[in-house]
Amino acid sequence: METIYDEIEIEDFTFDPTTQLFQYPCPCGDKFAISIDDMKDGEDIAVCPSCSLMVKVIFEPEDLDEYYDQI
Amino acid sequence: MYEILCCGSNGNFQLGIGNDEDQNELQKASIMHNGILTNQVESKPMSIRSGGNHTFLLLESGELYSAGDNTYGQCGHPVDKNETHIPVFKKVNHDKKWKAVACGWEFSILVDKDDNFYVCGLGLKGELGSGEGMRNSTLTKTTWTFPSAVESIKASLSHTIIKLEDGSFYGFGSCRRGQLGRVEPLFVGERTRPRASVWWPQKLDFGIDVPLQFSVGRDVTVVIDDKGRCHVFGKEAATRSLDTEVLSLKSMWSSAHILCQNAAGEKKILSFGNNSHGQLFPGDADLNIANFEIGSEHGLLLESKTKVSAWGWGEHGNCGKHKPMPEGVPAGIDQQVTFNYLNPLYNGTHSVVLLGAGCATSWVAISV
Repeated sequence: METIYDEIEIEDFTFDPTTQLFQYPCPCGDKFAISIDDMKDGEDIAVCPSCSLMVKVIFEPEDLDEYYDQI
Repeated sequence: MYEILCCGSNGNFQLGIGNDEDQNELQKASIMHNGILTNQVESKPMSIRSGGNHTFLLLESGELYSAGDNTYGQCGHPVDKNETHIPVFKKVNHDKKWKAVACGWEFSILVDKDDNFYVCGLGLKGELGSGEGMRNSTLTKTTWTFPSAVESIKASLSHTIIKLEDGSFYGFGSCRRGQLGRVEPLFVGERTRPRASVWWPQKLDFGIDVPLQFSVGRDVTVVIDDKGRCHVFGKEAATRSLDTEVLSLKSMWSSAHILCQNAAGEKKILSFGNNSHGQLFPGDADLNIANFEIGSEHGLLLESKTKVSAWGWGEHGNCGKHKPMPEGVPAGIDQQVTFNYLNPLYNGTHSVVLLGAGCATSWVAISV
């Protein structure tokens, strides 16, 4: 079991309707990312493509509706 | 002469060594000076400040150099779609003399010797402090005026705080978590809702009689007042009483570190906050602490004049190589990237004149 580095609220992520990814800065310089569809399926861990750090996204399933409206 | 040694995360050339490979041993930064590439500078390094993927080097002469990601102009250089990165340190605005610089995720705030402020880079949450209409800019002089001279300026991910010599604090950027203190709510019809961003520098009200020292982390500001109380504004807001003299205060993204001195003159670093990867200071009380510097999730300690150690999260080589690898623990990824002890980074013959620490980058300036 790897450590969760931190917990971040969904409002603090940036959502890109084109890639359908939520992103948030990682302390390595890259960005944590998680897709909206994975979140709809119950996933809540955003990972960084450049390092091992992970953050838990704090959200309620209904929070996703306003982001789906942007797609 | 001086040399700037560096290691750590380098995927965007932020170490200024001419390549984009992470480094787990100290390398000499390269500086383009008067058309000649060199590893040495004549003027003493005064400040090394880093954003997400860019780095500024300020010299005592007022010369300012930068390297790394310049996609949004955050290095203070003109944006060039064909050359988005500055691979070695390059001088910013040859005519100006600079006195301070602060960096956030993809933006920078520069202060010249006459206390004029300049902004550059990208800020979608008010990070440029130049109104809602300006979210991306190459290096631009601001119209900000303040009632007294600048004492210090610090920025984290998406907010900046300026302390003036008259003791007042000004700030701008993201404020959703309370990191800029009390901010007037937005009025929407007859209802109000909390403001998420402050788009111009405004005088900050932390509700503290006499705030003295401050530091900024990710969506958090830490303030120490004249009664020795340490207040956290933002995530995990709290107030603690410190019963020792505070010499300085610095923040990682998710923890705070206070250099204290007791009545006997002994120094120690008091840490609180996130310890997921050994970020809280691991040293004991009888260290000879000369200086320390704090990065996104790691720290550097200078003992005596020539010995630098690192602790915290070191996945990109920013804490050096494990010396030795801790025994008795399985070598999982967390163990490999966690330095929950003081790992030697520099132990040479040259005096260390300055430390710097950024987003998984470490900097040691030496006198040669």
